[in-house]
Amino acid sequence: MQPKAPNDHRKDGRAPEWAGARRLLADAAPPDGVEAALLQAFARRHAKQPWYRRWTLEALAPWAGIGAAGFALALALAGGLRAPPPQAPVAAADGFLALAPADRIAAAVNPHLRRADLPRQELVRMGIPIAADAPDELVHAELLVAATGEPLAVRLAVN
Amino acid sequence: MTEPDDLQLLRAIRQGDAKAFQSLYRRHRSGLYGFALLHSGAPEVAADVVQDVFMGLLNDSYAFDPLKGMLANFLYGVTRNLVLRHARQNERWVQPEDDEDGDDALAPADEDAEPLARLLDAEALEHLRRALARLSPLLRDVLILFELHELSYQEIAAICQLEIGTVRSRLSRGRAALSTALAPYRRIGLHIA
Repeated sequence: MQPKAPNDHRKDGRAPEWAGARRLLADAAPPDGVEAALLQAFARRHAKQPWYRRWTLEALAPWAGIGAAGFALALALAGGLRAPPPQAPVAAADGFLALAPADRIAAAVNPHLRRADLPRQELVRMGIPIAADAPDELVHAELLVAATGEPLAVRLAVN
Repeated sequence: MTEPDDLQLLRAIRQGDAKAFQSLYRRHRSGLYGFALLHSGAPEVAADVVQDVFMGLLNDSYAFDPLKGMLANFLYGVTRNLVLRHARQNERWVQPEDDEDGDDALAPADEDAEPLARLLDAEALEHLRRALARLSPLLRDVLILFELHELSYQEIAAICQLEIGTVRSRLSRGRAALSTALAPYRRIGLHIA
C-alpha cells in the first residue's frame, strides 16, 4: 500500500487541516469581556424603573383612549340634557353656508337664489365668519331662499 | 431536566431573564466565533462581530422569524453579514501574513491538550487561515460552514441565501481553490518531515 501523500484529501474530499481546526476551535470563545459587556447591556435594558417611568406612551395609549371615549360620552349626555345652542352655519356645497337645518333645506319646495348687498354686521349676526371691523360695509351675497321667504343658505360673492 | 431550547430562551430573554440570555450566548458563541475567526482571520474582529450579533439580538434589531428557520442558522447568517460588512468597511480582506510571528494568532489556548497534538492542530489551523484568506469570501463562507461546522447544503443555503445548486458549486470550487492554496504549506511539511 502506498503511503498517503500529505496533500491527498480524504475520500469525502475534506482537507485534513479541517480536522485540526475543528478540534482547536471546538471550545474557542470570544474573550470574557464580550460576555461581560453583553450582560451589562442586558441589565441596562431590563433595569427596573420607577413607577412613573414605566408609564410609557404605549402603556398609556389604551387608557387615554378609554378616557377620551368616556369624556366624549359625558359631553354627549350633558349636551342632551340642555337646549341645543344656536347652530353655527354649516358649510354646504358650492360655497354656501347653511342657515337652516339640513332637513329643512332638503325639504324646501322651490327654493330660489337671491342676490343682495348686506351689511357686514348683519352677516356676522347670521353667524357668517367674517370680520366685523366695518359693520356698515355692504357685502355682496347670494342667498338661497325658501318659497316661504326663509333664508336657507348664504354664499358671499368674491370681490 | 432538559435544557430549554432556543425559542424558550428567547421568550425568557424578552421577559428580562439575564440567565437565559447568558445561556443562549454560551450555547452559540463558540460556533459563531470560530466561523468569524476563520472568515476574518482576526480574533479581535471575530470577537467584535460576535458581540454585535448578540447586541442586535438583545436590542431586537433583527426580525428573526422562528417559522422560517432555526435561530442558530439565523445567527450564522447575521455573523456572515457582519463579517462581510466589516471587510467592506476596511476595504480589504485580511491577507495572509508572511511573518512567522503570527503563527499562533488563531490558536486558542488549550493547555490541557497533549502538547504535540495541539502544536500540530495549531499549525493546521494557521495554514488553513492563510489559505482561506486567498479565497473569495463567497467561497470561504460555504467552505467554513460545510467543513468546520459540518452543516448541510440546505442549512448553508438558508444561511447564505443561496440556491442549493450554488452551494454545491461553490463548495466544489472552494475545495479545489483551497487545495491549491494549501499546497505550499503541505510541501513545507513534507520537507520538514
